[in-house]
Amino acid sequence: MSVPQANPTERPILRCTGVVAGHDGLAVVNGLDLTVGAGEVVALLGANGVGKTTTLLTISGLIPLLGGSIELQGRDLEASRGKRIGSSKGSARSKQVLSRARLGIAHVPEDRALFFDLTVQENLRLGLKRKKDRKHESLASDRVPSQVEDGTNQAEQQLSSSEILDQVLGYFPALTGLLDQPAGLLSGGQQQMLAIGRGLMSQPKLLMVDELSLGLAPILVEQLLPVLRTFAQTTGAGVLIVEQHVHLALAVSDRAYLLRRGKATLSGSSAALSADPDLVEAGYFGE
Amino acid sequence: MIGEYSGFILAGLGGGAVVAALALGLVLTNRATGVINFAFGAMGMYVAFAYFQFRDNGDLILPVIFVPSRIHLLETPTLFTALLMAVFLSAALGAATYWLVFRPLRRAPALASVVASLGLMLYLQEVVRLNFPTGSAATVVRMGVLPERPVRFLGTAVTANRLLLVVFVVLATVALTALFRYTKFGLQTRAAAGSQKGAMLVGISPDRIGLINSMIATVIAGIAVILIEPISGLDPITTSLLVLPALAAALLGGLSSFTIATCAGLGIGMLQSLILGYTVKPSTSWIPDWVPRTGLQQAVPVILVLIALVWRGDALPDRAYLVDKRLPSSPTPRHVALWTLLLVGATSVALLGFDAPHRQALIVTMVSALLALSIVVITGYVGQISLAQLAFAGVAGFTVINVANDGLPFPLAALVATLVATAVGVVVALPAARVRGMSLAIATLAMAVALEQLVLSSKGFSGGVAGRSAPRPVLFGADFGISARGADNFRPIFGFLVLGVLTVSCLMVANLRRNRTGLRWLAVRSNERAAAAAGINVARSKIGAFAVSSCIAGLAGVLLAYSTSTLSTNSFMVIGALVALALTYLGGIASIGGALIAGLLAQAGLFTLVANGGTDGKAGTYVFAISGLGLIVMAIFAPDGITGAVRQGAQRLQMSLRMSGQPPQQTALAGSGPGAGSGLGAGAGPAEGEPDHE
Repeated sequence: MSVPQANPTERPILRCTGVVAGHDGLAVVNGLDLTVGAGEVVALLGANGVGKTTTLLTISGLIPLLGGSIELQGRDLEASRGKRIGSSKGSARSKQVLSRARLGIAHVPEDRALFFDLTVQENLRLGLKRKKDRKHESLASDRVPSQVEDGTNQAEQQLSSSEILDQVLGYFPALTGLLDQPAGLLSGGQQQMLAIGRGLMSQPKLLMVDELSLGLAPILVEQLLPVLRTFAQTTGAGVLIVEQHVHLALAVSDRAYLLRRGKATLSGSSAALSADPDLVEAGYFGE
Repeated sequence: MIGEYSGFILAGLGGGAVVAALALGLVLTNRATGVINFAFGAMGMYVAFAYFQFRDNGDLILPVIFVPSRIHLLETPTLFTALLMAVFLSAALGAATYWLVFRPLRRAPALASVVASLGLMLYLQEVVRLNFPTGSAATVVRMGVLPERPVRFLGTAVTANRLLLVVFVVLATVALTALFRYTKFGLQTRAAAGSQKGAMLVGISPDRIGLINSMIATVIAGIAVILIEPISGLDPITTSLLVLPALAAALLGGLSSFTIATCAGLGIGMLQSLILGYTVKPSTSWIPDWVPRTGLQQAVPVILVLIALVWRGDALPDRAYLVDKRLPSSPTPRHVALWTLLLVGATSVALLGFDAPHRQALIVTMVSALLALSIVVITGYVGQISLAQLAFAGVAGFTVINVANDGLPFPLAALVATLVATAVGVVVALPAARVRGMSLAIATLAMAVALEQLVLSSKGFSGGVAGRSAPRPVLFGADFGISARGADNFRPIFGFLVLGVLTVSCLMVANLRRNRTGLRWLAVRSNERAAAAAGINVARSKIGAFAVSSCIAGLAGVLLAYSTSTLSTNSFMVIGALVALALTYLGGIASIGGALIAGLLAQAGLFTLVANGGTDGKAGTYVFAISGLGLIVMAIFAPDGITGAVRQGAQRLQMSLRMSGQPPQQTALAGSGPGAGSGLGAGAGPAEGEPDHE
């Protein structure tokens, strides 16, 4: 049951316009435009240090946005910040992250940020949204019906927590037998599954995965990446991945952006990009 | 046989219960916020003072200075309203300390939160001393909460309040365990302790978790201290120091198990009571006379902590934080010759020109600076939080008196004493090879308590409360004594002796910092594993640094012994060690200049004298309260201390002068490091600063 994606940019899940972001007030990302459509997997490519991870951190709110705008389903994420643009004050920052997580952004960071002392089941349960947020969400989508959301998504929001858990375990059957294991005892691949699974538990509108392949065997990566594809297609959510393995990323994604010096210097359908390897290479190594 | 002592064991239940309650609170705050709060006993102590005041006349006294602190709330307070007030007050205190002190420090290194909680402890003790009628002027009738009639328990008479206290603590333990195991809030707390980033990404607010848990913890502590008052009494200092046995109990539970912490707390209380009961019996004459009986009672639990710490090794694993922890910067000493000339010159002029009171303050300043220098070496350069430095000084101080009185001439006696202190320092360093960070702070604190209670309080070694006097230091017929017969007090020549020792020590430390030893130390400080991977023998570096540092502390102790007419144990109380660490942090814990400033700020040092003179002695009243607040503020806003703040100010000035002269350089693209590595690279000049990027 694939979702029609006639024009993914028409009402995108995520739209970044002229994003400026970086650490300690120094811009790493400088004027990035990027969209992720409903049901779409988008890859963010580029050499080390061009700002791929910074982009994800900025979208989830872990580091401040220094300029430009980020919209989730047409809603400006920084609208509530008032005059505090680029505020890096601890409390304002943590509020940003919390409100975005509740709005439906799930971020699987590079280090996976798992709760090692807790069991797999507890980790997954923590991924669940609060009931209040889940209810609020279904009301909101009632008011703004859209072609993407009325089908599958609507039904999902009424799932009970155990049904959501079953669904996530459906994506990662390997976790089923490990539910009572502490997360810290899992292998690298199992940890990555758990990290993504925890993100999926929140039934996100946007799932961001940073360096899924980091430290994993290639065969495992080839099993995990298609899960993201399936998730996007069945739920109509957007998926944004950062990946060092260009060919793997292009194989699984619909579109890709190539970052250079904090800007998207190249973008297009993944099929077109993988047909022209020289173009991508040029993006990495300069003209 | 058991029956003989069962009375003592059961009597210890009361003290054990309050230790257990504080331990519960420590475990709870640690699990929720990762902080070990040395001020926890002081917080309970303040709540109890406020409770008894309120119960007496309906006045609520707030922990504030300079503004009116007394609010008359009720005409006729009842037991119920007073307890209600105490619950609200302790919850508010827990919330305030979390929000104002520990939340801003949650990404700071362990040292910063140790220092901030010491500041909080000092502040609360002083506020209670200033705001509440205490001591002989007490007008408050303290009405106990629990019935004190004796009941029979297991065939032994014990007062009901002791048993009820135990019931309270056990109920609290069960409730907390259930909260953590079965509720969503408990799960979220455990999650936030594991990974703050992960918690935020799944929508858990670490602030909310920390706030609520701090409130619960403080309520438990406050109620327990209120309930224990009829049994143990209430005193700003001794009650605050209940945190030590509580830490012992909490550590035995790995700072995570409520049940073990409670059992250990009760056990420590009963053990202390049993030791007390056993040692006062005439039949226990096998214990040699030089062992202080009360010391044994205090030291035993502390020794237990040490064993637990060394045995567990990694009892307190570091938590995963959002941002790398930034250590105080430790710049390479520069222009050493120039600074030496300037400071030695100025001090010499001052020694000759000052009148006696100022000369005395200057000598105190120099001796305190020497002690602070030992802390700079071990804590600032190597990152090992040591609270035993003052105890090393004490060991050296009494050793020099004892060997000199036995006839060893002056420089040899001083040398022997310094070597003894160094040896003790190396022994203390042995567990440090296994224990680090906050655990080491507690281990060294435990060592300091053990040294104070068993060695420094021993009549045979120190003369007990009366103290002992050192013979005059005479070298080749020249008398270096601090006072001569007659009016000539605080003689300059003793000042020059101190100045000489201080100068040589500072130069030695500057030299160590500049050569490979210093680099090795800084490497160990910033990451022990990386240092080991780079071929540095971490254990050897630590032990070497402890040796250097305890040697300097020993020198300070020797000079202290020669500078006072009688040296007594009171100079080396644990609270003094906490103040010394705090002042050094205030001055700048990782630089020699910081040690000198710490000396200036020391009690009875030049700064207090001058401040007292300018304010008709009023500064003396508030000096501890203000330094307590100052510590908290510095720990949060200026981890590099006063010297660091001055250095940064100078650099900024230098940069703005340079910027106005020439167009700003393009450095925006190069900058990416979040300032984490500044430990080694500090003082690199304007290139490291932040260019105005708009």
